[in-house]
Amino acid sequence: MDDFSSPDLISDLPQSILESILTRLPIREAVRTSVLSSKWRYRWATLTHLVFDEECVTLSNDRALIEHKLINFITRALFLHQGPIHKFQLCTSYLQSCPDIDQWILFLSRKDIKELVLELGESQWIRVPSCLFNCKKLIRLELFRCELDPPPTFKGFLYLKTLNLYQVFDASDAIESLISSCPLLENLSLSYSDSLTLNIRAPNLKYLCLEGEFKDICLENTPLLVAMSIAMYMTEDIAEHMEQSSGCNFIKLLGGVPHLERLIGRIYFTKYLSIGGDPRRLPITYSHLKIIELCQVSFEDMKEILVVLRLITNSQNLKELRISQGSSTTHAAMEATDLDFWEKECPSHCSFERLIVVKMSEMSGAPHEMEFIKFLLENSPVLEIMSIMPCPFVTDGRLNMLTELVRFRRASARAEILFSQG
Amino acid sequence: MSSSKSNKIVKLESSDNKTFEVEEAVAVQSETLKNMVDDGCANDTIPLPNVNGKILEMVLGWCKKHVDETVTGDELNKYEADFLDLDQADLYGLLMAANFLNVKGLLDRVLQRVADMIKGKKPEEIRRIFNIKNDFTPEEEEEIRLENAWAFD
Repeated sequence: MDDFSSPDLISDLPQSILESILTRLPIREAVRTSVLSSKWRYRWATLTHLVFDEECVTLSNDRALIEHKLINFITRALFLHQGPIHKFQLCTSYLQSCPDIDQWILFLSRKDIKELVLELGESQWIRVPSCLFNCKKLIRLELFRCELDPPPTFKGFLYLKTLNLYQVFDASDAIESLISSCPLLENLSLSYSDSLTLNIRAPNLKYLCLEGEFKDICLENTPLLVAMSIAMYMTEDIAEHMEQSSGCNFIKLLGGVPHLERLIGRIYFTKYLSIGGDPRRLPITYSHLKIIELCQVSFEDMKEILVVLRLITNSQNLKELRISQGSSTTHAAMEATDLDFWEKECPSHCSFERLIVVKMSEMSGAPHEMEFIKFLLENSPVLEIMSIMPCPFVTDGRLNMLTELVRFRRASARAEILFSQG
Repeated sequence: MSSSKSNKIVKLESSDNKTFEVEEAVAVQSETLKNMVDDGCANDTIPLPNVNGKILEMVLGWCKKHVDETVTGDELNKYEADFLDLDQADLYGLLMAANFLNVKGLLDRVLQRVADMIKGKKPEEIRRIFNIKNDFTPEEEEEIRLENAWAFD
């Protein structure tokens, strides 16, 4: 009967294809294929992408047992592994910092590791062992809740393209020099680190994402930056530091990014940019900047409004603008002060030739907000959508807002004003 | 997009001497063919000795569907799902062809399909589905069970 059964086609597929199939299985199942037949016994052992999580072991209520099994699983898998390992990812809350991790990283450093992702349990931070800095071929590194302390002999990750550090404790300015010592770095993401002062020197950087309590950020050398997303939290410490800081923050952050295409600024971003004076004439124009998104812009702070104006008037090719209002006071200032600001500061011949979509949210209907919308409507000849979403707390003022909006002159015949009742 | 860059036709010949003519836009879904087009080597009929007519027709059908702008997202999803309802011989033929021709989306889907056939199954089931003969001696089986006990923990 066996002679007439269908042939075993899968076992004869080329190794590279079989590896691609096994990589798509959870690693535990990939390892289990070892019992299928002699051809399959060590097929899994040459996989170059190893992804571990708690699915590797049978779960139960006994956390200590799970931790033990997981450590055993990973150690055995690495020990039986053959050949290079290009990617090692370990993401699980069931493991805390333990000596085995150091051993695993030592092992990986000898296996030409290219991508390393480490995210463990929240209660303890991992002190990254020095052998991590011997992983010379690293292209991608993602670390969560670690303490970084490179040895003095560390010369950098010369091939690193992606660096993602989440809640990483920076011992002795390690992060800044780490970034500078990775000449090929293209993607950088730093979240929730301690209040850093950061000078970023990364000549190949294209994508930057920063989120946390930063005292001072300077993009000293990032000429190729294409997209930037920055969320700045405020503490008293930082607010104090901001008052004392020297130099114009706008220039420090946006003075050297001529190829910027996308800018996202969250929380206190515009406030941060407004400190250190108004850069009347910018050294560069943002001729590639197409999308700007700014959150929590305070329309009561003239300096913040200036920041927004400088930004958009220097972005000839802007297509989409999203602004959400957020001021520190609880009621909107319905009485305007210095409304002649708009006549003084707005360039007389200003036209947003490519602006198609504007979305304003959390609007309270305050005078300066309305002036801004008016300014945009008057100067955007191809505008298609002006979407206004009022702040949920503003109920009485909505009709007034609408009445004013309807009166504004529009440069674009196609502009639709969408007022969302929310 | 009323006029595409070129309305050039690419001619392909399968291992069993069937010829196929497709628009360049369809052919370049295959990175392998795209490189040939870019290098100017696609003017004559391109022989594909690794791919038979039946499989090549399937691959080109996939490519055509993916450049067709009238196809909706849902239609495409259904198409892709139905497409892979094949017997194993065809499935692996498709896999090898997609790999050789480097049609990324197709390759990805087929690889995932095979992986899904393995996922969640016990070894005996996997052997049955793929006709894998267990060629271990009882002693070897015991040895392997011990060696890999940690993966069955």
